[in-house]
Amino acid sequence: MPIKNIMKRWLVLVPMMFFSVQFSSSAWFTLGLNGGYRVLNDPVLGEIYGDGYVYEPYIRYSVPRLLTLELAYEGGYKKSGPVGLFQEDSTLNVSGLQLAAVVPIPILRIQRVSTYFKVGIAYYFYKQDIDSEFVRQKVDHTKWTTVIGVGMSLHLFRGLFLTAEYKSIPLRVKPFDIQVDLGGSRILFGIGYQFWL
Amino acid sequence: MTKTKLIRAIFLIVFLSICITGGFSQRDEKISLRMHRSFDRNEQGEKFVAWIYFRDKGPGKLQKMEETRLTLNTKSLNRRLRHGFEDLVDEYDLPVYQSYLNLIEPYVHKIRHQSRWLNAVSVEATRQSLEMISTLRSVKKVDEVQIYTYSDPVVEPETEPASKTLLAGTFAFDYGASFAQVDQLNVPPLHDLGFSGNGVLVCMLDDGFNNLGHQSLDHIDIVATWDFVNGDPRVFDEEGQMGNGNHGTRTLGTIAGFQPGQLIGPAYGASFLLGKTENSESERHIEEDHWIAGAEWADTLGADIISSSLGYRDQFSQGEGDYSWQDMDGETTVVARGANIAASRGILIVNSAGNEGRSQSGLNTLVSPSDSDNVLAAGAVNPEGNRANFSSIGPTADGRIKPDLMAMGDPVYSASPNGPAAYELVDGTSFACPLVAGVAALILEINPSWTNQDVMEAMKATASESESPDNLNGWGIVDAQKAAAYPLKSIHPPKDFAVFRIPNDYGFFFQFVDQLTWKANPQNGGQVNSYRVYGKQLDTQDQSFTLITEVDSQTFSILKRGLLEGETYLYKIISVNASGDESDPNYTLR
Repeated sequence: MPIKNIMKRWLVLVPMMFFSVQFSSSAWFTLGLNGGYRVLNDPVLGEIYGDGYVYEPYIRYSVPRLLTLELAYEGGYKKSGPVGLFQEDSTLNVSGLQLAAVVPIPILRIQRVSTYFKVGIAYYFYKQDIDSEFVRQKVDHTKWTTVIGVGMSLHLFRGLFLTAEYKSIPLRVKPFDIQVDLGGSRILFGIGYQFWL
Repeated sequence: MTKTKLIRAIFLIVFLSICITGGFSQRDEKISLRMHRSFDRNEQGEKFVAWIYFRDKGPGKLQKMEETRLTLNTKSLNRRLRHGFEDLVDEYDLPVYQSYLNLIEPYVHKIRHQSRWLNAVSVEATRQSLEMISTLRSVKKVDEVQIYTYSDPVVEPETEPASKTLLAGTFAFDYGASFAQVDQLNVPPLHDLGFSGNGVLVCMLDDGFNNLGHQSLDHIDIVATWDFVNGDPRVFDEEGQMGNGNHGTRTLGTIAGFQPGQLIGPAYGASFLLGKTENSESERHIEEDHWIAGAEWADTLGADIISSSLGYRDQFSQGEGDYSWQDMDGETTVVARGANIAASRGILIVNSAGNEGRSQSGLNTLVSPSDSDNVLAAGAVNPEGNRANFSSIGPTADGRIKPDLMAMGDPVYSASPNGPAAYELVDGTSFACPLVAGVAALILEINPSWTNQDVMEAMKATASESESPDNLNGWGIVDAQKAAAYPLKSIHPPKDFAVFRIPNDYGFFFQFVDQLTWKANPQNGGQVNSYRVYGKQLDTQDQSFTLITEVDSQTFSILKRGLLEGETYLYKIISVNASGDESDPNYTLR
């Protein structure tokens, strides 16, 4: 079975199993919003569109002593630049859904501060619009990939906390003849709120 | 020494250093990179064959032009008049300035040829001498004389072609075994009407001409001969001299042989100049300065047509000093430049396309000067009209369609150098070339007012693939009868119509842009009002041309955008005058 299909199934099955088995009063949710800066690895597209800002709303579902699952959406990277021989106006839009397991790694013994590591899968959308009557190919594609990251949270009061996170998402795509690296690292800062149901 | 004196001395040393190094660098700039490479490859004291180009032709141009006019023969002057050469001579016709020659003479071992067209002399000299010569103010450039090779013709065992008996009696002459090669070009109907190239002067540039007493050659009106390799008028093999003239016997037999029942060439009634310009020793190498000298000689004596089976192969001289496929742009090689000047004087040049076949890289395998837009490059086909595998292909490095025309070359029946009544079958574009040149001679005989460009236009417009030329067969197989009767238009297509495909990188994918370029045709004068450019995609169902754009007469380039890899387009361009009359099309393919 292709890896893509396996990943698709996991994206649906894992949260369902997790929620059905572990939904109990001991579990809690987190809602949060991160914002930050992402790097665009591809040297050619990097010249045209460059790095850019992203935002990332997310929801976490945590079961104590077991696992925290995070479902996030990354958006905001929509950048314009002149492309090709004739420097035609164009826009590149990259966004994605991420499903990751967040694992605490208690390396810092500081009160109210927690550190974590996350690993997961992501489904990315990328689209290039070129303002030219001569362009006959359309870039509007998707790609499965992985996501890894590390972060730290500073818990304030009543479930409110601040985060700083570093994430790396590889995203090598080849919609036509050329392989392009839309991946890159992200530095994100944000705020979150934990609550019990 | 006082401090002031010391400072002055330092300044003097610096000043002298600048002067000396400046002088040397100027000298070095004049010696071409190719010449430098040749110096590096060879030992000190060895002789080199080099072109020495001069800055100008000295003082008193007007008087010299008047004197030069008197040296041109009537035929040459008439040809120039026919081609609209109002002043009859120009600076190209002036000889190399004698005082400049006097300056270099003491340094060189031998002056081989003077070229008035290139304003240069080819010399044999040592490296030290050439370096010394390069410091002279009158010297513009020192470059290596390039050496080409050509493929030996394949002599096949003599067989009895089927056409000999099948079609005997259809025409006035019995063409014998040569029937297929002239019938394919539709030559016999013109022979039946009494045309044979009479009054047309054809210059054959080849490696020498043996066995001129052959039964099919002894009727030929040979106006002049010259051996440019050995510097004497004898163009046949001589003891102790360089060269082997068998190739020329075969090409001459192909164009002008006349022995009913055996061999009849298309232009058996033409007059001929025979120039031995190729030193076909064991390596069969030929040097470009001989060819240039031969072409200038042909011009002076009034030749209407030059038929040359010159070839080029880039493996010669370890490949370092040679021209590459990228130089096959019709303007880079010395012979192409010479051919362009010859064509500007009204001479029609037909050259073999080459016997290099198709390269694995898909790049052109042309030989020069067949890469010139002013030269008809003749490719070879077999009796069924299919391209011979060895026949070289285009496009030129600047994107023009080549070869131009096809004629039989696989095989051709011709006079053999091996006996007064011997014949043989030979292969090669070398033999397609004289067949095409022979047809051109017939057309000129029938249409004596036509220019060389008119003849080229008519031959292309009436050839078998004139509606869809390509880089394998060009415009296709010549049709002599149709070309001779072709109604020329009052306006002519632009020249040098070429296409370059440029990649357009959009980040995720490439598209391509075809840059189409052309040049004004001097024959049109100022009568062009606009150019219409059409295109058709060859790999689709719709095979009709669509108008891409119409541009004014001062525009010589357009872009066709939005192309995908692998899409092949045939473009055509037409000149339009103020009355709306259209020229014949010129084509290019990508």
